[in-house]
Amino acid sequence: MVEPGLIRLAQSGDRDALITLLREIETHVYRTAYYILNNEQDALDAAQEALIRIYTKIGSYEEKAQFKTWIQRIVTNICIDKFRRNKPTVSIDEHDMVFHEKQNVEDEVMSAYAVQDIRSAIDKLPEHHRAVVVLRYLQDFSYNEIADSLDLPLNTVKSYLFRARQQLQTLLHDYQKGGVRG
Amino acid sequence: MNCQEVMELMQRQLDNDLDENEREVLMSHTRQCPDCAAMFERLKLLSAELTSLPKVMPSYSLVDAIMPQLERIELHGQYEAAAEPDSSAKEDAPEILSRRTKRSRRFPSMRIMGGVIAAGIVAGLFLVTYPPSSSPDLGGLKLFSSSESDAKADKIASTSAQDTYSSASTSEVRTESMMRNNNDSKADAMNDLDEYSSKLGMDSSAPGNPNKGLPATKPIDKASSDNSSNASEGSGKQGLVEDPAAELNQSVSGKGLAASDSSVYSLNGQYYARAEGYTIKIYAAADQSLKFETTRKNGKPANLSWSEDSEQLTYEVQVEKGAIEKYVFDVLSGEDTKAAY
Repeated sequence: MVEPGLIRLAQSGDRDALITLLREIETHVYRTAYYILNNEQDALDAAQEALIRIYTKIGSYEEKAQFKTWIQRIVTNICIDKFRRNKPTVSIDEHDMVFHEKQNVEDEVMSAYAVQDIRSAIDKLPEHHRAVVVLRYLQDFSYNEIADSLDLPLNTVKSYLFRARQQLQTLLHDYQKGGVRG
Repeated sequence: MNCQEVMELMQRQLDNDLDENEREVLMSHTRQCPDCAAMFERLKLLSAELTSLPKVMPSYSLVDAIMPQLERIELHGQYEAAAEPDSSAKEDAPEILSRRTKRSRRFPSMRIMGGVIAAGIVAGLFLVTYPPSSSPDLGGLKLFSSSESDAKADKIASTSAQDTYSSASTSEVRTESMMRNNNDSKADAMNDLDEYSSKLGMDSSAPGNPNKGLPATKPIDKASSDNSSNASEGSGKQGLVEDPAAELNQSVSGKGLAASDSSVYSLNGQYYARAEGYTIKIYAAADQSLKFETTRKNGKPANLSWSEDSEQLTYEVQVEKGAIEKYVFDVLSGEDTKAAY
């Protein structure tokens, strides 16, 4: 997504290159913040903080890491810090994956979930589970890229993602059944 | 295969992580198990919905919005060297400031202390001539008492020398914090403080540091390298206060086990290495010339240690979230490689 040449220029002290680079990534940084924090104003603040940190720390980026995972690491760290200060979350079942309930299959009508429902369901996930979901679906990251960004072992990434999806599925299913639509 | 195992296959299928065989297992199970089939449908729906969440954009240009802050950062020099904000470091910063302010009130004038410094130097020279390790005869006893008074004199002298310097640095740091409003400012200020205090050799845990009696402009690396190559020559040249603590430091660094912020000597005495900010610099002991410098690391290098053949320097870098990366620097090849655990 960002040219390696541009990154090197930015690292060598070319300020214009660094500004260009920040412009290229600002949307990606913002999008992650938006879905982790579920609030536009917080996301704008967090994204700006992340961009400033990227600006000051560009020299510490090493090419052995992917640039996109390096920037997502910065923004998710900032968001998770903010998030910890702001709100409590429901605990997620950390034990082995099980079916939460015997699903009632018979006359289930599959219909699209409302975006608002999905966002509020994501908002109920614990911070790291949420970050994994956001990187997987909003940044289209692989398991490995998520692991690099969040500094988590690969297996942890998978289990967070799987549990998160299961939890989301359960929550959304409940919304549909209860007709509680946003 | 039970439903729970199939659940994992479903999940991995959503991420296109299954091979042909696994996919076959999943499909044959869902054909027979309506519960799993329904669950898989719901998960696929969820995954599709997550994929199509709106690709939101910021309502204004974030880079334009932070431009004034970026310009202020630029004005105040290169702050990318700042440490990763460390909560413990942040908490220390105000404490250091207040400690320094207190000192400058107590010892306002350096001139008054001039005589005390001179007394310290005399006592120090005496100590160098008669090392404290000498046998406990009458001379040794005398020496012991004078070394005590020396330690006091040295402490007072060094405190006053620091004061002139620290009052300047304190105000500078404060101005910077006021002008820069982002989160890193505290860490930056802390970093500046670190630099100042290391220049000053200001470390309350080692009150006998020989650099303390010196004018603050004297570079610490020169002093410490002189110490190791020839203690008496080094101290004679600089008119230093020498004391047992300094000798202890010296012998420790000789073994390559010195504290993180001081020089670590190779066993053959040819090189010494020192962590400076985010890099390690390796100097030739003979002429103190810089021989190697490693690339910038993601954290501050620590735990420097030389191999027995003096050819490799191993060190650790503390990166984010407490993780530690281990590196080996080879002085023959000049290669800096990340070591496996």
